[in-house]
This record gives sequence, structure tokens and C-alpha cells, in this order.
Amino acid sequence: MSDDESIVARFESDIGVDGRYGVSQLFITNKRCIVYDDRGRVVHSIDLPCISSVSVVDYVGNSEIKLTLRDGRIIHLIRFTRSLRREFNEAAGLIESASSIRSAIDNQRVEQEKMRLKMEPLLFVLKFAIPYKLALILGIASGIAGIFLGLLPPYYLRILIDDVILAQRREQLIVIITIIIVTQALSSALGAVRSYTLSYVSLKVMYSIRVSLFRHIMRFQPNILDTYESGRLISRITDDASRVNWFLSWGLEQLLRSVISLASVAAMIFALDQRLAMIALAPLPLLIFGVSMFSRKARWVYHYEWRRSTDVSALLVDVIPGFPVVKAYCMEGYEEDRLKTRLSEVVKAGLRSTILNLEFFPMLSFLISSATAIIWWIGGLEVLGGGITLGVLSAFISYVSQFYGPIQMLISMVEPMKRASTAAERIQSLMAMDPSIRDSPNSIDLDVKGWIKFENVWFGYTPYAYVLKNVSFEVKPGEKIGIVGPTGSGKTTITKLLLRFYDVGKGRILIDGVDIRDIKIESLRRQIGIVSQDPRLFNDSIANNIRYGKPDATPEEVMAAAKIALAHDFILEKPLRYDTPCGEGGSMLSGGERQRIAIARTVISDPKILILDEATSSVDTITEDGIKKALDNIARGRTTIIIAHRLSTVKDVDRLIVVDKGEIVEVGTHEELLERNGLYARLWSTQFQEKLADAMVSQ
Amino acid sequence: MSSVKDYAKASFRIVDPDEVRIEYDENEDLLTIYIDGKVYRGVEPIKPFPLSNPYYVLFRSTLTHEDVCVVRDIRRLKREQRSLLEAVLNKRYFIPSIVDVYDITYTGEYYVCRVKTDRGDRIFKIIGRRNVYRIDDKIVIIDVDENIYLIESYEKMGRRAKEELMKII
Ligand SMILES: Nc1ncnc2c1ncn2[C@@H]1O[C@H](COP(=O)(O)OP(=O)(O)OP(=O)(O)O)[C@@H](O)[C@H]1O
Ligand SMILES: [Mg+2]
Repeated sequence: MSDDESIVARFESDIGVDGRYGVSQLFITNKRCIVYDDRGRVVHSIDLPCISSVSVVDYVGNSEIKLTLRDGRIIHLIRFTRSLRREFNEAAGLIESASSIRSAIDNQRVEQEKMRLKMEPLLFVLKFAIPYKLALILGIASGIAGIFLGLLPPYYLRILIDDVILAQRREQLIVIITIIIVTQALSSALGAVRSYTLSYVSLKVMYSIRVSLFRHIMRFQPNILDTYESGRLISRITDDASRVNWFLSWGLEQLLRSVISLASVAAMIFALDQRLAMIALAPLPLLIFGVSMFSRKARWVYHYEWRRSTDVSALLVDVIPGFPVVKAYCMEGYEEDRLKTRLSEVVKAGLRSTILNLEFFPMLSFLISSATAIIWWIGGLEVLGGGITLGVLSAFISYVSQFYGPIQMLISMVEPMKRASTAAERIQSLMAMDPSIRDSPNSIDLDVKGWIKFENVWFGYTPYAYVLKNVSFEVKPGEKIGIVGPTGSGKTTITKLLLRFYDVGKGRILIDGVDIRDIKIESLRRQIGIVSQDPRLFNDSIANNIRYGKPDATPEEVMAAAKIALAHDFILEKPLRYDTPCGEGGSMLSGGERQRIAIARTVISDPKILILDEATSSVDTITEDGIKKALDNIARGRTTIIIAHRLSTVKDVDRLIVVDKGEIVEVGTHEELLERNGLYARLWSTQFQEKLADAMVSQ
Repeated sequence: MSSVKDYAKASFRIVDPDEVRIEYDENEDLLTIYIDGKVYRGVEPIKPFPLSNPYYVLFRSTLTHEDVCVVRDIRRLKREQRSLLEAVLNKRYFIPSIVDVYDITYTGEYYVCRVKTDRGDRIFKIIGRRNVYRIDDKIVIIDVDENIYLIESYEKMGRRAKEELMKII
């Protein structure tokens, strides 16, 4: 190494050069990247300026960094297991930029995330109760007042036995009984107030947690579904929120009640007889120790159990909408087995936490009941010896049972509390996550004219596994272009980038000369209309589905949009016309009908840029022609991008872009491309021959 | 660049109630329409939004399948014009409004609903929630025989009706 060469970073891989688990190392310096094997021998040493591109290629169970050099050579730099994917992504990024700035920023962000999660999850949930603090306080206060009322009967009991019955004071009997009844009535009334207010607060809080979770999730871009399955997101809004609800409607108040009644009963006990009190409270330290041991263990057990049950909902959310597929392939048995596996995981996890409970709680209960027995014993001796009266002992025993009541309650609450706090923690961590794609502070509202420019765009769904490679093209305002290419070549990905569902890896996308990262996301999307490859309708009427593109559309606009999509006629044939429900995801309509309603939904918003991704792939060619003509009318002057496999759909656009394996391979008009005799010409001639063959058969 | 709005204007002529004259052609069970001195025969009145916008009517030629015109609110038509049109529509769109619910019982297979509608009393069967749709604040019920009933507003129903309806919505 020369003097002016310094190490920028070092990465250690877990796969050796021989392809077995072992060590190899990648050093990135300001001049080269060097790979050493486990004995310190140099395997590769590549000068940074020689590298033309870096990518991370994923294989099963491992990945590698692949370098393409300027002279065309390809270097398989280093292999590593998937566990190190993140680190080596960074390595690839470093090699690319040969600077360490990026990683420093990333580390900083991770730290911040950790900081924000610090707050106790259940306190975090309580924040949602702030708007209802009066009701919450009223509920808890009436609960506590109820406790103090509850302290009176044993006291009356002592009076009843010692001062009334044993003292033979007949006339006092009715007084003391009346007082007892009034006390009970008051305590029932307080109970009702408490139940109502607490359930009011908890339902309201659950409502606002759900709304804010939903709103938070909606801030994300569709790429969140690449990391979170939709079933898991759904279960955070439904299950987790309702567990938290339990905490507020029941747990919190029980907790406070138990603690307060513990304290007050303890005070009463000490007032009655200190020696007995000492015996009664003897098991307490043991209890506290036991419970804290338990909670430490319980945390991961409950997290584990929770994940098993979300596995089940994730599976169901996936399989039940896919029911027709299951039936078509006769895979009922297979799906049942998959579900059984996951359900039995739930059972196993549940038993595991049950066993954990059993390791602690029976022992604790035993401690408590032995304390009571001992008090009977010693207290009994005292009464026999005349040290205390029978009334005192009865009151004492009654208090002691009131004392261990709340303790039992507290112990039995540890488990659901842990569950609630697990749920709260999950909600909290989702809320703490920030969408990676969002408006930059100085982003602008742009009145789009429709000039699109891709400048050397690189993009991969996982970093450095590029799906688009160095894509550059330009579409002028009002131009109509077609994108064609084999399946999986990256056509849809181009549209997702334009809508900023994902941010580009390298390069930039400009609209009217402005980088789309500087345009407000909402402003951008409002002006781009897309009919996607598998359009999803909502379970609502046809009219409302079309109006999704423009909520304030007049009835005529709804019908006009449907007319452009050649849907007006078939809709009027439906029994409830435009009020006909579409079914879940549009399942009550045919594929072609669904596509046409999706087209109507898009055109009604009058987008400046119109993207049709296989928008007419499910309709017959005659209907497609009709839609094309009607669209021509409306698309005139709008930038239009049409993606299609059926080349007859796109052949008369202004310009065709041919994509293959993430790269643009040809650009030109239909005639020019036929002339060139490249990929497009090949695709065309196969489709053309098929058509010819069809025509011959039908003759 | 022409917008959908322009296209809508060009495709659907909205007529004022006094611009149009309607005649009933008993033979064909269709309408004849006069607008601006032009005559359209064989016209069918269609409610494109029979539930969400029931007074909106589209007139469509059964001969050319062209949309002749639109009346946005037929309640504003002249009295005899309106009753003539409603007579035709009431047959084509028989959607009674439920005004009261006597009771709803579950037989294990069906919910049997005994109701009072604006067209008289009626007993009908539905299978469950999937026969009940909500459109805006209206409730649409489609029974097992595909008859359609409408509840204009759940909130405005009487107390008993609301309690009974809770079984199916
Ligand atoms: N969410 C995703 N996560 C990871 N990889 C993805 C994702 N979506 C697409 N891909 C991959 O990206 C590549 C390009 O996909 P894209 O949808 O852009 O292809 P396409 O050209 O539209 O294909 P088709 O003609 O079949 O619609 C494919 O290899 C695909 O497997
Ligand atoms: Mg695609």
C-alpha cells in the first residue's frame, strides 16, 4: 500500500474463497478494492477508476458483489450469506461512490430510531387518552371511591359482632343494617359510573389509535407492502388496537385500584393488630420478586406468541381472496395443511406461555393461602387466650382476604398486561417508522405540461440488484409512446418510478425539467393517471368506483368516462346500472369489464400524463379498437404512455421504446423498428405469424 | 386537449324540464320525445343511478342506442308529464321503499322480514349480510328472489324498525 492510500472501510464476509463457511475480507481504500482470503492472500485487487458498474447479485442463500470493469471484464468480487446483505449493500454503495459519507448518515438514522422507541409502550398509548382525560379521571376516581366504600363493611362487621350482637343492643341492629345497605347501593352506583366512563374512554381511544395507525400507514408508499405483508398491517389495526383497548377499559383501572386497595387495606390491618399484620405481609417480598422474574421472561414469550398468531392472519388474508385459485388447483388439502402448521405453532406458543405461567403462579397462590392459614392459627390462639376479640379476628381475616384479593388480581393481570404492552410496543414501533419516500421540505406544486425525461436511471427493488439499468428516454408534451418488451423486462417498474412509488437508485426522473423528488407527491400523482396491469376495484358501486378518480364528478362525467372506456353500454345492462356493486376487488365483474371501469376511473380525473399498462389486455380486439378511438379523442394533447404485449395495440404510436432485461434496446416508430430487424421485429413477426395462422384456421 | 367534462357535454344533452315533451307509445311500451322540434321515437327511459340518484333519468333510443338526453330531476317536470313518465318508470324500476319493519325472524336458513313499504306490506327472505348494501346513507336489500327494497335512511326509521334491522345490517 502506498503512502497516500488509506483504508475507507473493511467488510468481513462469512463465506470463504473456497465456497465454504469461512472468512474473507473486503477492503475499500481511496484507490482500490481488495479482497483477501482467510490466510491474508490477495484474491482481487481492483483499481477504483477501472470499475464501470457495481451490482449485488442474489443467489439462493448467498449473494455476491459483481463488478463490471471498463474493459468489459466481469469480476466476482466477494460472496457472502444473506445475513450480511445489508452490510455488503453498503460496501457496493461505497465502491460506487468511494466515499464514506453515506454510511455515516445511515448510522445516525438508526440511532435516532432507537431513541424514539425508548418510551414505555403503555405510556405511549395513554397519550391517546389525553383528550378524554376528564372521563378517564372520573372513571378512575369513582373506582377508587368504590374501594374506600368497600373498606367499610368489615369495619361494620366488627361493630356488628362486638358492639351490637355480643353486647345485646337490639335497637342498634336496624341502624347498622341500613348503613350497610346504603353503602352497597352507593358502591353499585359508583360501579356503573366507572364502567361506563372507562368503556367510553377505551372505545374512543381505540378509535383514535386505529384512525391514526391507518393514517400513518397511508403515508407510506406501496413499497411498504414489500416489507410488511398486508395481513400483518391489518392485524396491527385490528388485534393490537383491541388488546390496548383491554388495557384502558380494564387493566389500567384494575392496576390503580389494586395498588390503592393494597395500601389502604395494609393500613387497616396495621391499625387492627401489628403482629398479625407482619405475618400477613411476610410473603409480599417473595411475591414481588417472583412477578418481576416472570415479566422479564414473559416478554419474549409473548412476542413470539403474538408473531405466531399474526402468521395465521397473514396466511388467511393471502389465501381467502385467492380462494378460486385454491379450488381450481384442488389445493384445499395443501392450504389446510399450511394453516394447520401455523395454527399448531400458535398452540405450541400458547402452551409455552401457559407453562411459563405455571412455573410461577401456583407457587405464588400457595404462599398466599399458607399465610392466611397461619393467621387463623395464631389469631385463633390469641382469641382463645383473650388477647383479641372474635370481632377483631373476623375483621382481620376479612381484610387479609381483601388484601390478597388485589394481589391475586395483580398477579393474574401480569399476563394480559404483558400482552397489551407487547401490542402497544408494536403499534409504537410502526408509528415510529417514517416513510422513506416523502415530500422534501422545498418541494413544489407543479402544473404539469407533460414533458418526461429519464436520465440514466438505475433502480432495483433490493438495492444494487438492478431491474432497470441506465434507462434514459424522453417524452415530449402531448407525445404518445409505446413501451414494449418481454415480460419481466421492467416496463411496469418504469411507471412505478414515474409515480414515485419507489425512488430511483441512481440518475433522475424529470417532469417539465423538474426532478420528481422536488415535486409534491400529491401534485405529481394527481396529474398522472395510470391504469395498472391488474386494476383493483373496491367493493362499492360502479359509479363510486369511477368517481374514485374525481369525487366531485357530475353524473354526466361519470357516464362520459364510462363511454370513453366503452363501458357505458354494458353497465346499463346490469340490473342496478351504475349502482351495481362490484364485489370485493371487483370480483362480480368480468376481467374485461373490470379493466374498462379502471380506464373510466383514470380518464375521469383528466390526467396530464396518461399511462396505460396492459389496460386493454383482457378485452377483445374490436372493443380495444373502440376504446382506442374514444381515447384518441381525449388523449390528444396529453402525454400518453402505452405498455402492451399485443403489438397491434401500440403499433401506431408516435414512438416505440423496446425494453429488454431492464435496458432500452431500441427506439423508433413501428416501421423504423421493423427495418432495423431487431428484437421488436422478432416480436412482431411471431405475433404476426400467429395471427396469420389464426386467420388461415378460421377460413 | 379536450377534457372529460367537454366530452360529457358533447355526449349527454341535459334538458330543462320545459324544453322537452314526452309522449307514451302504448304499443311499444316506449316513449316519443320532442326536443327543439326534433322527434325521437322508440325511446327508453333509464335510471342510470336507480338507488343513489333515483330522479335522474337518461333517455336512450332503442333503435340507435344513442343517448338522446338527460333530465337531472324528473320531479321538476310538469305534473302530467311526470306522472306519465313515472308510470313507465315504476314498472321498470320497482324498488319499494321500506317505511317500517314489523319483525325479522331467523329460521336458520333465511332471515324472514315482515315490512311495510310505500307500495304495501310485504314478507321477503334474505340470506344474510351479503344481501344488504349500503350506498351513501341508504340501505339496499336484495332478497333471495332478486327483488330490491330500499331504506331511504336508517337513522330516520322508528325505534322498533331500527332494532329489528340490527339483525341484518
Ligand atoms: N415488488 C417487487 N419486489 C421485487 N421484485 C420485483 C417487484 N416487482 C417487480 N419485481 C421484479 O422486477 C422485474 C421487472 O418487473 P416489471 O413488473 O417491471 O416487469 P414488466 O416488464 O412490467 O413485465 P410484464 O410484461 O410481465 O408486466 C421482474 O423481474 C420482477 O420480478
Ligand atoms: Mg408489467
